[in-house]
Amino acid sequence: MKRIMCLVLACAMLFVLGACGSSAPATTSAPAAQPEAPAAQSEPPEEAPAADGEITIGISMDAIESQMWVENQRSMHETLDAMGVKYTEVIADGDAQKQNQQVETLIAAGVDAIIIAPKDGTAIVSAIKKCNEAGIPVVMNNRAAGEGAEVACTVSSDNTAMVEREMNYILEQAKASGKKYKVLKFIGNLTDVNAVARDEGFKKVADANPDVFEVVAEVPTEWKPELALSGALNAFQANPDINMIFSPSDALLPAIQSALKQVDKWYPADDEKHVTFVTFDGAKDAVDQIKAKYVDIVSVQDATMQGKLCVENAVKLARGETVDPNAYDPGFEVALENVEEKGFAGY
Amino acid sequence: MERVMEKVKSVNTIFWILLLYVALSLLAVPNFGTAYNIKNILGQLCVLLTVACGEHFTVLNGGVDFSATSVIALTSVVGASIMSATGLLGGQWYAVPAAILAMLGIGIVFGVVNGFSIITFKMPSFIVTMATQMVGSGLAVWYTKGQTIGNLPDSFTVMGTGSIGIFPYALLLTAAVVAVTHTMLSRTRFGRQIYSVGTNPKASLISGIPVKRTIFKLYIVSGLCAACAGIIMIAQMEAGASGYASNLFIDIMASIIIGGTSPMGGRGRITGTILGSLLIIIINVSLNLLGVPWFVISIIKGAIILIASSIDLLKQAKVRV
Repeated sequence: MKRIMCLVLACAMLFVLGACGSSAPATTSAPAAQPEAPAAQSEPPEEAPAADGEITIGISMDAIESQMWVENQRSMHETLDAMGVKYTEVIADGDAQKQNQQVETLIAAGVDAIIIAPKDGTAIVSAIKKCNEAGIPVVMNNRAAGEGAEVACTVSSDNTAMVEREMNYILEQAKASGKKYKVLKFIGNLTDVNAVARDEGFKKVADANPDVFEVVAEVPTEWKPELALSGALNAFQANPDINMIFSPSDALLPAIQSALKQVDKWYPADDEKHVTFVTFDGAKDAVDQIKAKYVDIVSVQDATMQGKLCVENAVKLARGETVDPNAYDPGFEVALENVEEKGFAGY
Repeated sequence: MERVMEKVKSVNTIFWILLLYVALSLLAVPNFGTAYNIKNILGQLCVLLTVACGEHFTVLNGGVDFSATSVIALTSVVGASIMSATGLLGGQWYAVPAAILAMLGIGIVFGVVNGFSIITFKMPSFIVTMATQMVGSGLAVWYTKGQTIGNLPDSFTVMGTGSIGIFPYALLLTAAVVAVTHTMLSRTRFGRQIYSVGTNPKASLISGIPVKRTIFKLYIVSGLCAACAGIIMIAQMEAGASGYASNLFIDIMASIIIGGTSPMGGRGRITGTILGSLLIIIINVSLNLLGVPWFVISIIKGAIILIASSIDLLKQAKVRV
């Protein structure tokens, strides 16, 4: 009897812990309608476009791996709260299989539209197909999906053009000063279309100007700072004369900064030992380092706008309206020259 | 009445925890009992249970097979690279069987390397399998250069995406793995030898049991089960990637331990691992439906493992007294 009581109490405790930990979705004036359970078959909950006040948006995040993503998530929550729309959110902790399973759980929960920031644009296709079968529209957040499934809207930055702009900024400076760069290039995750696009932007300018840019080391990071740190240390060991770094995300900045300090290369722009630093995203760390002259330029994804666009499009789709299949955030650059006038403090 | 009570007592503790959890979920979690969600739970169970069945063998031996997760990743990319539309045998009628054979072959190779290293060099299983895990993960990344391989033939992916009612096709392969492993452990001499070697290898050797051969074979079983899990994984994901299953190991071990298998070896049934896997998946799904953040889910799973292990230890202490 004692054992049974122990079990009952243990399960009840865990359940209460789970319920306490559940995110509190924004409330609407009317309670959200729970979809009818299918009677005898396993078809997903089929829903007609929901009326105002009855919409629930599902959010599937890969991982909150940088300040850019924190801001993107905050912006989505704020917009949903302001619109009075309910939402339920799942985070896959950087696991593609878990994310697909979580999207299926969102379908089972009967949400009206799903916003997905995928871990892997190709691997997420099978989950999007299931959304298509269930008649649930999908909005891709920041990263596009692979081919084979129908996405209603993709909200993203023009990563290639943004990197081209910041590389051209460095190119102009190099032409003015006659400086040549030996570049250490970091690469994100090759399964992430954004990482590939940023690499393309870099290559477009670097390959067209081999007299200015010579890539002496490439470090694939899978967006992991520990790989960036070890890769940077190894690269400087092999090429001590590296004088420029291209980082495809600010999430790698602290690790690269640590490596530069260890090899005695962390100096501001007015010091001759300075390593020119080009980065991407717009985190507060990066902007602070531009103000301190350690970082030269950052291309900023407007995470606030992206989050807002995702929600606005998802809500429209949930209400049965049509949306533009591509919503671009043009982004902007913050550099040594304009950091004060831009007034952007970073995410 | 006494016989009924005896029967109730003989049922694994995890069964009652699972029953209670399902009952609470049906009452408190919206959409938990829908047919779609049950299909979702069964679909999610396939990979975890298939690989856990193989890992169960190594735990029964008081060991562990860390390489199982990298076998899943490696088999997924090799299989996908063979049968993909742009792959080595893309478009050929024999692409799918060839890919499946290659995937099973990888599982056997890893099992052979693990088993051989453990019995020949007398290395602890966690060191050997940790090393092969690193080799497998590295090979998967090197083979694909980090790219995900999609465009798999529909005749293959239907196994992961199709279903009969609430039963996914992939569950058939999982059920076959469960049936074979359960029969091996409960009905064959090899099964009895595994329990004996797991309990006391020295006594087993003295009594004439081929200890080395038994250990060698059980790592092959583990490798094969991981390969089967890899087959299910790419069928469900419709793509192969080097990052697959990288976070799965904790769930695998949790399923086995809360299923009542002793990490010290020699004790535990496949039925317990089935219930353990089911509980892990149901916790994930129910808490996701409630919108619980992933870190809270992680805390809850950790708490359940602690509680289940404590109950198991208390039971053992009672038996000793």
